[in-house]
Order: sequence, then C-alpha cells, then structure tokens
Amino acid sequence: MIAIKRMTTALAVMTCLAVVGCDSKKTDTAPKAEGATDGDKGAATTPEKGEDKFVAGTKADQFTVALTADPETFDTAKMSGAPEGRVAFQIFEGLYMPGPTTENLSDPSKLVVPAVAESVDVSEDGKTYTFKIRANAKWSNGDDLTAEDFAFSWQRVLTPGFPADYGQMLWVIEGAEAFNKGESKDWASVGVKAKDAKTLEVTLVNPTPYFLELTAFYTFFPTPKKAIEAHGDAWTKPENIITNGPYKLASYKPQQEILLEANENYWDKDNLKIKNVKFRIIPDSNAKVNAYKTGELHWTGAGLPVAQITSLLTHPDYMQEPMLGVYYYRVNVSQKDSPLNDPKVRQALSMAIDRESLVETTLNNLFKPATSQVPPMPGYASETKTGYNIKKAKDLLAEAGFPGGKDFPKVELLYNTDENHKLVAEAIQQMWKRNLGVDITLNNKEWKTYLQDVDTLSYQIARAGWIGDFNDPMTFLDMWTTDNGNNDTGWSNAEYDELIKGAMAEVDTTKRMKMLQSAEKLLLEQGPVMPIYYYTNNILVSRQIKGFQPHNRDVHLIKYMELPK
Amino acid sequence: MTRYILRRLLASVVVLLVIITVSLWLTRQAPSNPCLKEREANTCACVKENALDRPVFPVYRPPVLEPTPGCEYYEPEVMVEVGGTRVLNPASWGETQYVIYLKTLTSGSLGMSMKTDLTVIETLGAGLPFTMQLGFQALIVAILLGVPAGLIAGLRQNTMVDYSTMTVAMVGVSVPSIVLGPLLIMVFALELGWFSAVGWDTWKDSLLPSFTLGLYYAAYVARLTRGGMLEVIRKDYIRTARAKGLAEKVVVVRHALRGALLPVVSYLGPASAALMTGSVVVEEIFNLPGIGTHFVRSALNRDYNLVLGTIILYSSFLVFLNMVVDVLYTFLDPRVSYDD
Repeated sequence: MIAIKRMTTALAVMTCLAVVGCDSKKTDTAPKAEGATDGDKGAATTPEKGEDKFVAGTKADQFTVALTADPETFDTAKMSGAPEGRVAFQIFEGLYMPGPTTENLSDPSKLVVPAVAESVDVSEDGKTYTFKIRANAKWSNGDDLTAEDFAFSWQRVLTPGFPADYGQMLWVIEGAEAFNKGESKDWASVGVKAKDAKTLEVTLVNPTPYFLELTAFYTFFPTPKKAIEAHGDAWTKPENIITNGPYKLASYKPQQEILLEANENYWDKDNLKIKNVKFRIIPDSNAKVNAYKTGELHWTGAGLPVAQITSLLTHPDYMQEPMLGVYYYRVNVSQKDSPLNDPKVRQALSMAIDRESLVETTLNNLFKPATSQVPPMPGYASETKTGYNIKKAKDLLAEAGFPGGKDFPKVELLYNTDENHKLVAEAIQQMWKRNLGVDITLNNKEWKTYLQDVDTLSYQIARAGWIGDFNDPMTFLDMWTTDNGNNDTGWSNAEYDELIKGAMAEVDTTKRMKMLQSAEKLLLEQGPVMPIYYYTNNILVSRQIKGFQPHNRDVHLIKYMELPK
Repeated sequence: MTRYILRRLLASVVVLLVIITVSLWLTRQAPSNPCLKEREANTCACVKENALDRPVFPVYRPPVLEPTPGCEYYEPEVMVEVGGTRVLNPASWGETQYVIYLKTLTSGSLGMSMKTDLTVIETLGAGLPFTMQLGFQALIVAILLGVPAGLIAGLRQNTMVDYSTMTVAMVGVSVPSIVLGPLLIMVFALELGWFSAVGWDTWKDSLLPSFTLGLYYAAYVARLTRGGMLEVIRKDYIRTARAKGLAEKVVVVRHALRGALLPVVSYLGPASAALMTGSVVVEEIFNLPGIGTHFVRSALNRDYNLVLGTIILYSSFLVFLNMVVDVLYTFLDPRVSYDD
C-alpha cells in the first residue's frame, strides 16, 4: 500500500466532531502543542492570530478535498492505494459500508452499516452469510443491482492472472483460493451463489468475524458487467463508467481535479447533503497547506508537511485521528551467522528503544508510542506490552553472548529515503549505542530499491509500516506465518502458525481473541518485529463541516457530511 | 534548404532510434521493477500484463521475480548458441520487450503507463498544453527581460548601468526556482492575495510560475547578449558601418545585434526544449498539471513506458529545436548557408 510510505510524512488528523458551531476541540488523542488554543470556542469567531481566521473553502465553489496523487485506477477490483480508495468509497458501494467513525466503539460489528445489502443472515457456524440486497439498489444508469453483479465482480477479481492487488482478500470465501490459483476451473466450486436477483449467499472457509467489514472494502465492491463488457479496460473512463455509490464520476482531469456529482439513482439519495464534490490533486504537502490557507480547500485529506507542523498544530482546523497502522522495524532472521537470529538479541534491541521520548522529542508527538504490534482497535486489546527496560535488555544481550555489546558485529539498518525515517533511525541508533553499546550503521535507499531489498531478504534490519485493512488483529498477525508473502523476514514458528490457524477456525469470539493475544505475545517475544509507533492521520478540515468524525482507516464517506451554506 | 531540412529529419529518426534503444536497455537495468509493491500484491499478473517476463533483447535472462501458482512466466522455446552466448531463436525475437515496444511505437502509441490506467499519450497529453504554455511564457519573459538588459549593459560597458544590470542577472542565475517560487507565493499569494497559491484555473494563475521559471533564463540570456555585444561591437564591419556614417541606432540594431544574438539563439534552442518539457520544481511548488513531474516520478515508479515516453518527447523537442536554430543562423549570419 503506497499509503504507508506517504503516511510517515503525514501528520495529524481529526476535526471537530459533528456538532453545530463545531468548536476547535481536538480529540483526546490530539497532541497539545505549546500555545495551542484547545477547546477555545471563541476561536471560530474571534480569531487572535491571522492564520486562525476562518478561511477554509471560502474560495472554493463547491466541497473541495485534496488528493495526494492521481488515482491509478477507478477499477475497484484492481486498486490498492489511498487516493484510489478515497474516490472509490464515494462512487461505489459494497454490501456493507464503513460507518462514520471507529472511535468509542466497543462492538466491532458497529464498524459497518448496511449499504447495498439491507440485511444479512449468518449461519450458526459463522460460515454462511445470506445477504438480502435492497430492492431499490441500482446502478447509476438506472439498471437494477442484483446478486449476480456481485458474483460477476468477485469472479473477475479471482480470475487467475487478473491484476487485482487485493485478490487474496477474497480467499476467505470457500474455493476462492483454488480458483484464483487456477487449480479449479469451475466457478461453481466457489462459495458465491446468487440465489435469486436480490439474495446473495456466501460460504466461507472459516468463520470470519470481520467478513462484513471485508464486504465494505473496495475489492469486494460490485463492478458493472455491462460497462466492462462494452469497453474492456476503458470502462473506468468518465464517459463509460457506471457506478453504484452516492456519487458518480462526472469528470477527471489528470493532475488537476476529479469532479463527482450526486447519483440520482442512488437508493439513499434523499439523505445526501453534499451534492457536488471536487477532488483537487495536490501532491506537494506544502502546496496543499497553501491551498487550505487561501481558502481553496475544505479538507486537506492526508499528509501535512513536517516542516510546517509546529505552526499547524495550533491551527483551529487541525485534527489528529488515530490510525490502524504500526510503524515498526523488521528483522531478517534468515542470514547465516547473524546475531539477529537469536530472539534474545531481538528482544534486547526492542527493549532498548525508548518509544515515549522518541515520539515526544523527535516526532513532535505526531504519533503514538507503540507497545505492541497490533494497534488498539474496537474489540481487541493486546495482552503484551513492549516496554522500555534497559536492565532487562542488557541482561538479555549478555545471555545471548554479547555482554555490554562486546563483540557485537556491525549491523545495518535499512530505510527508504525520507526525512522522518532518518530522524527515527538516528534516534534509535543512539539509544542502542547508549543503552546496549551496540553499534549499527544506517543505510537509506530509494523506495523501489528498498522494496526489492526487503522482498529478497537483502537487509538486516529494515524500517517498515503496516496499515490494517480491517479492524481485526488478524490483519496484523497472519502476515507473520511461515512463507506468507508479506513476512519478508524468513521467520517461521510452528507454534505461531498453529495459533493463527486455530484462531481462523475458531467460532467462539472470546477464545479466538485469546488465541490472537497469545500469538501476538509470541510474535513480540520471539518474532522478527520491533513496533515503534502507531500511525496517526494529521489533517486540516473545515470546522464548518458537520458529520466529519475520526476514522482509524481514514475512510470518510462524504455521504455522512454536511456543509452549511 | 528543403533538402537540408529533409536530411536533418532523416538523421533525427536515426538519432531517436538510438536514444530509444539505449534508454529501454537502461530502464531495465535499474534495480527493482514497476510491479513491486510494499504489500504483496499480484506481482505476477502485473509482470505478465506488461510483458516484463520477456527478454529485453534476444539475449535471454530469466525474470527475477518468482511466479505464483496460476500465473506462469514466459519461457522461451528455443535458444541458440551464438559466439558462446545463449540467445533466443530468431523466430521468437518478436517476443522481446524491445521489439514489442518498437511495434507499439509504429502503431502510433507509446504504450500504457505501468502504474495507472491511462496510456502514456493520455498522461503526457493531459499536461503538455500547460507545460508548453508555461514554457512559452517563460521564454518570452527570458527574451523580453534578457535581451534588452544585455544590450544596454554591453553598450555601456563598465558603467553603473552595466554593473547593476549584471548584478541583477547574477542574482537571477544564482537564485534557484525552489527559493524564488515559495518567496513569490508567500508575498503575492499568501500575503497580498493577488494570485492563487496553487493550481491553474485561469491565465492569471500562470503568471507567477512563468516568472519563476523565466527569470533564470532571462538572467542567462542577459549575460550572453552582453558578451556577444562586447565581442561584435569591436568587429571591423561595425567600424565600417560607423565609418560610412550610419546612425548609431542603425549600427546597433541592424548590424551589431544580429551578430550579438548568435550565441543567444544557439542557447535558446536547447533551453526551449527544456522549457517546453517543464520544470519539476516549478510544477511541484505551484502544483501545476504539467508534465515536468512525470520525468522524475516515472523513474521513481519504474514506470518504464512513461519513462521512455518522456525521453522520446524531450529528445524530439531537442532534435527539432536544434534544427530550427541551425536554420535561424542563415537569417542572422549571412555567411552561413546550407545550400550545396
């Protein structure tokens, strides 16, 4: 996910919640910079400083949002990035859709709300989902949206050789993996059945508690058979595209703007407050802030410039939203004679990182110190806390045969070229030197080269980031099973694999969570990871907008928002 | 003259073919590839879709990435030994990336971008009008500011006018657009609010970037004009012109300036090619929808087709504008003639 790279330079997020006269109160997660006018209700009307005066969107002719890059595609079956998702979530709609917020939810089932489906029946064993599709669910050209459309779309994603970045997400469906790998040619063997025009039955391999959230993910969205068959790959051009979301794609000018307009065939069109949306493509984060300050934007999307951050923290429209993502170091355990192959060494290194001070002094409190690999999320709390413990770290290192860091070979830390990664790496290099007497060298490589080094295990320790795709610990944990394509460390642990496999098959939610907690504990003690901080999303968003609430995957449906005149 | 131009055009095609061949090979030498992403994605499908599993040239090297179940990579059927190297059977040379690319070119396409859903022509075509307008305006800034400044400085050598003009020009050459751009935005957009800080909706929005881009060239042109003027003004034919009693204005404008502009014109050829293909820095700072950013981003993304597209575009401009410069010489300098 390209978002991960950008996210690191991205700053805080969070706007005022959906309150009339929205004051400039930050969420409890927002950092309080010196001199921040926090919760100052007067800030909106009686600005003290020039930059606090209300300008957001005053020069924009319609609701305007910045996008960090051109979407690579509007085809939901193929896409995988953040700008693509931002647009897709407005113009398409899945069986379920993400709700307005992920904050203060104890029940993970509240994360999504019925969308194309009006209801769902789940079987006892948690493996069969029967969706009832709304009678008035339609495509933007007025055609009826049927269960058959979902079957067609999912078959398209799973067709062997189809370039779907997220195709593996559908492997939770029975028979999907074999079909995708070309082992089975028979689509009927896959657990997707259109019982009738408005009833879709999906059979899963395992009880998958997050399946509803998956149906709210763009790879699971319906794609229009009619347009695809008529235009091939060109179906996503504005003149050909047919969508089913609250908005439809009106026009697209590369590197300039994307215009959306209300879809008059949308089932819930009467509740749509904002009728027109303009996405402006602004890759440079300084240019984005300039555009916001001159009133051309209502919402900066993601990624404020690090260089300007101290001045932006006090901006009344500044918001920091928590993110379902972790910034961590991964350790290659597959090299011969590497000291890093010893779990004690890895643990010692991890314990010698003072995450609190790193986040506070080096990173301006823009992120949250990580105590586990799985960030906090509704319905899950990590059992383990990776803490700062110099004494234990020293002991572990001595046990591993390097008392006081003596004879510890030179180890290299790899990161992709970026100012923020450099700051973090330098701070950690110093901590390891000071706390353990361990010397490491830093090496930075350009993004694609870095990716290749990680992919081919040509590194020792490498910076990494992971943004969860759904609110379940599985999205952070299954990648560390043996030979998983995202493992990229050579780490393999039979007990861990068993725990993940067991959790996948477990119907009982409590037992399942226990297994995942144990797996995470094992991962942190034995595994190839050192979590450093949890990402946050830092943005500027007009305090005039109602209905903008923090979302930990940065999924914001404009459908929920309202912009008073 | 027509024959000369035709000959040049023919030579240009050869030059371009060499450039394409070398560039195609170079892109494939860069580490990593367009299909590699941070999260394991369907790399195999992407590799196949872009024919990256094929040999680049008939010398076959197997693809670096592992194929996945249900997605096998291309395997050449027959290999032959030529001088100790295993090469493809000539019958399968059509399968090489090079030949596939040349075929794409002859069909009038530059291929698909390997990162987005757009073709290379769509991608570059969307930005080119903006970039060319910007470049053209910057060129006008460069000529309108640079030539008179250089002329005056040259005619008043070693006076205050000369020193002050050349100091300004020196500063202009030295201040990079990455400094000038944000300064102009700060003063004229954020403080005074005369212009918008980002984007390009009306013609007015193009003024700040044109100025930012053109100022460097204006300064350089001023220095070249001054140098040319100083050299020419001492020539015999200028003395002759003066001796026969021509007015100073006529001497300067009709005789001296033409000679003095020769170095400027030969500089403006390649400079225009650079201007017409955009500036990464200026486009980023002002968030303009031009093609300059593609030059850098396509390389970072390893978007081979887009990289080649930008190279072909730039080198075509360069070759063409150099030809224009050579033709212009015949008008500026009567001694130059291409008629055999």
